[in-house]
Amino acid sequence: MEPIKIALAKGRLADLSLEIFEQIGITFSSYYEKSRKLTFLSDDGQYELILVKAMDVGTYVENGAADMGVAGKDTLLEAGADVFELVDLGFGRCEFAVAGKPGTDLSDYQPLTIGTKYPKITNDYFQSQGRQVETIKLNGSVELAPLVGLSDVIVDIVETGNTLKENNLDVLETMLSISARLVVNKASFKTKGTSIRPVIDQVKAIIDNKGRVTDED
Amino acid sequence: MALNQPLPQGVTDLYAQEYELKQTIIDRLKQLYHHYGCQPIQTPTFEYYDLFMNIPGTMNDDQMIKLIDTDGKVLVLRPDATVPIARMASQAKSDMPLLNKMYYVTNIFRMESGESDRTSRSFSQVGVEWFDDGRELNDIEMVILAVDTLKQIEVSDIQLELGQAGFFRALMDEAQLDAETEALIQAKLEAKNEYELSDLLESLQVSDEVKQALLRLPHLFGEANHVLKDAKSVAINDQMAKALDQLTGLVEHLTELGYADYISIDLGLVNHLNYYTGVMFQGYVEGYGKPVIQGGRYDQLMTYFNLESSAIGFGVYIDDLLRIVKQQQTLQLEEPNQAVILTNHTTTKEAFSLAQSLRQNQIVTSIAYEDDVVDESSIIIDIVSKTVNINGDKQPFETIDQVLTKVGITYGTD
Repeated sequence: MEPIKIALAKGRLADLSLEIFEQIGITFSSYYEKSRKLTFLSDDGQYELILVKAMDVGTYVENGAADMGVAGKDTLLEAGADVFELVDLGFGRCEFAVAGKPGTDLSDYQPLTIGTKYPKITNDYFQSQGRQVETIKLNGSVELAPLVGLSDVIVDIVETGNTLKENNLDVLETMLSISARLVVNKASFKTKGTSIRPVIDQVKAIIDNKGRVTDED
Repeated sequence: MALNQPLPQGVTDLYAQEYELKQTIIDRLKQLYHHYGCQPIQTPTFEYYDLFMNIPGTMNDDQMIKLIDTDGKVLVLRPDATVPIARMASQAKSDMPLLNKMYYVTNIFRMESGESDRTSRSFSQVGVEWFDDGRELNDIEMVILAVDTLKQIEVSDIQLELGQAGFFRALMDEAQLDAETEALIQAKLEAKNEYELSDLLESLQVSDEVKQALLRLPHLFGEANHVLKDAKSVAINDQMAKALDQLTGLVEHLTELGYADYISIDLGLVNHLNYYTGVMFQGYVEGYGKPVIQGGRYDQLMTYFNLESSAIGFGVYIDDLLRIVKQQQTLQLEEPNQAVILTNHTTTKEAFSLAQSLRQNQIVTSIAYEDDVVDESSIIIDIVSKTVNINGDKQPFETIDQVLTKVGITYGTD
C-alpha cells in the first residue's frame, strides 16, 4: 500500500498538527524543525509527511498530490481550493480585518484602494456587499501601504493587533474569523476511505473533546 | 532561427505516442458505446450565448469563451456538451425510444484565467446521453456503462460513487429556505464542512428535525448497503424515503449483476444540483485526485426546450483518463510491422507498386531514397540492389513475390 500523504506547512500549524497526529499514534520521529528534508515517513510507514508552503497546502490536496493536509482557512479561501474541509481544528484562530489610519471612513473613497496579500478574499468580501474596490497585491509588510499612500486601507489577518498598533493603524471593520482546517482530497477520501476515515474520526474525537473554542495562545 | 510562437494558456499540441494513446482510448470507448446501441452525434463548435444563459445555474457566465457575430449577436465556444445535445434532441427526438441514445466525442472550451494546465481551456470529453422516460432499467444500464467505460480502457482500482439528487431536494423542500441560503448550505455540504454547516444552521430558522438530517448528510457515504441502512432514519418525509427506495433498488440490481465492488454511495453529493434530478454518479480511479466521470439523471433541463422527456447521461474526461492510462501503463500501443523501400529515380515505379502490395497486407510502408537515413529496426527493402534487410540479416531477392514471402506474407493460403 502507498502511504497516505499529509501536507503541512512548516511552523506553528505543523507543530500543533503533529501533536494531534501523535495523540492518535501517528508519529514522525525522523522529523525535526531544522531539517531541510521535505518528506518524512511515519514510524509505522503508513503515512508520509510532506512539507509545503502554507499557501500551497490547498493546491497539493486539491490535485491529489497529497491525500490530506492542514491549512489555514485564509489560504483555502484565497486559493479557492476545491477540497473536503472536514475538521475545524480550532487552533490558528485569527480575524480578517480592514485596517487603516485612525478615523478613516471607508465610504469616503470612491473607489477604495486596498493593499493586501489576499486579493481574492478582499474582492469576494466587498463584492458580496456590492462595494467596488481596487486591490493591490502585496507580498508582505502590508501595514506600510496606507502610511506611504500606496493604498487607502489594508486587508490582513489580525492576531494580536500589535503590528497594527505600532504602525498607528486601527481595525476599521472585521471581516471573518479563520482557523486551521483538516482538508482531504475529494477523490482520495472516496478511493482510500478505509485508511483515511479512521484518521479523520480520531482527530475529530480529540477536537470535539477539547471543545472548539480553546486556542493554545 | 525559428520564430518563437507561444501557445495561449490552457491549450496544447498533441502528437506522436501521446496522441495515438488518446485516440486509442477514444476508439475503445466508441466501440463500447456502439455495442450499447448509442448513435454518434455532433453539435456545432459554437452556438448562441443565449442558449446557455436561458438555462439558469448550469454554466458559469465568466467561464464561457465568447465571440461576436457579424450581426452583433454573442456566440460562445461549446462550454458544455449536454445543453447543445438537449437542444438538438428537442428538435429531432424520435418516437422510437432506443434511437434516442447518443454518444459524442467533443472538445469543451472554458475560460480559465487563473493558473492553468495544458488542457484547462480546451479539453476532450466523450459521453453518452439518453432521452428516455425515466425508467429504472435505463438507470441500471447507464451506471453499468459508466463502470464499463473505465474497464474498457483497463484501468484498475476504479470506483463509481452514486448519489440521489431527489434525497437532498426533498429535504430542502421541507426546510423552505430562499435560494441564496440553500446555495450556502449546498456549498458547506459539498466541502463536507460539518463545522461551518452547523454554525450556519444555528443562525437559521429551521426545525431541529431538518437540522439533524442536514448534519447527518456529510456522514452518509461509503459502502452502499451500510449507507442505505443509515440513511433510513434521515429520511424525514415521503419524498426522501422514495428517493432512498429508488437508490436501494438500483444498488440491489447492480449487486445482482456483479457490480457491487465498483460502487459506493454518497448522499452528501450535492454538486450540480440545479441540474440533476435523480440518480447521480462520479467515477474515480485510485491515485488520481479528480473525478473522471460525471453524470446522472436530469429532467429539468428538457423543460427549457419544451420537451416532455427525462434524460440520463454522463461525460468522461478523456485528458484525465489519458494521464491515468500513462500512469498505470494499462494500454500499450501496438508496434506494427514497418517496412522502408529504398529506391532511386529509375525504380520509382517498382517501389510504388511494391509499397501498395505491402500496405494492402497491413504493413506500414514508407518509400525513401537510397542514401536517406532510415530506422534500422524496420524491414529495409532496397529495390535498387534487390536486397531485403530484416533485423540486420541481409538477403537478396529476385521478384516482388519473394519479398512478400520474406517479410512474412504468403499468397494463396488463408
